[in-house]
Amino acid sequence: MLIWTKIMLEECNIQITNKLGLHVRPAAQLAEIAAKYQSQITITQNSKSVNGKSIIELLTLGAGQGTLLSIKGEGDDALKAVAEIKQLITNKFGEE
Amino acid sequence: MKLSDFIIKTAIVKNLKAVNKTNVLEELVSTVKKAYRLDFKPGEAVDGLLKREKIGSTGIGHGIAIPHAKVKGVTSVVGAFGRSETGIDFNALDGAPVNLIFLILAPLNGPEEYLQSLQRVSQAIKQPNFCKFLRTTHEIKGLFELFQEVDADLDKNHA
Repeated sequence: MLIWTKIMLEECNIQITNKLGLHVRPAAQLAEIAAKYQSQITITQNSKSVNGKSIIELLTLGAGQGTLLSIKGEGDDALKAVAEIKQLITNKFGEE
Repeated sequence: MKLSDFIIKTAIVKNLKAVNKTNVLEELVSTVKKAYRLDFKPGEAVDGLLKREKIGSTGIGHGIAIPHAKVKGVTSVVGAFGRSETGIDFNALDGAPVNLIFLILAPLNGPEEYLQSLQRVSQAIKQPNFCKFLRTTHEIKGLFELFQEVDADLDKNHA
């Protein structure tokens, strides 16, 4: 029997709008959400890509206010994962 | 922004005396105050750091913590580095005790500089062997040389 697994690919671009940018707490929030999902989450700024599940890697981006990020999810739950991360960034990580 | 610029040699504690989170923060804040001869209230800084920890631990995993706060009287980002032989319970995100602590104090304004300091610390942590060498180097001179080496590597890679 053939078991067919469909790999979902979801991608979106979003701008960081909170004043402090992607500092420790936002990075922790993002990584925590990403870690809930099976999908591989990749965050890209310009040409630099990092693992969305790693706080340290997210911090290496130094993404300040106004930075455009690409969020890519690969896996069965990619759609939901990317939507939730997008929501977090749109909501400015609960900051100003 | 170089790690060795905002964590100077005199701001390195090779073996922290403190064994709990609050005392570690106090020890490192007092180190910063002495090293940079800054005019800020240590108590206010420690309160700020503890308040920040309450929101969520800055123990980001793998035995590393980056406690940080904005402090009145601090005019540019300054930091301290402390090593703990015993390991500190930092309520870290992975639950593991923390033994490498990068403390950052930032001015009330200037999110860019603060973000750049975090970026440099995290880039350093990601460099192969940096944390391993920090854990196995026992002299302040050697620890500061590691900071300078990692700065040189990062400046080369990100040039």
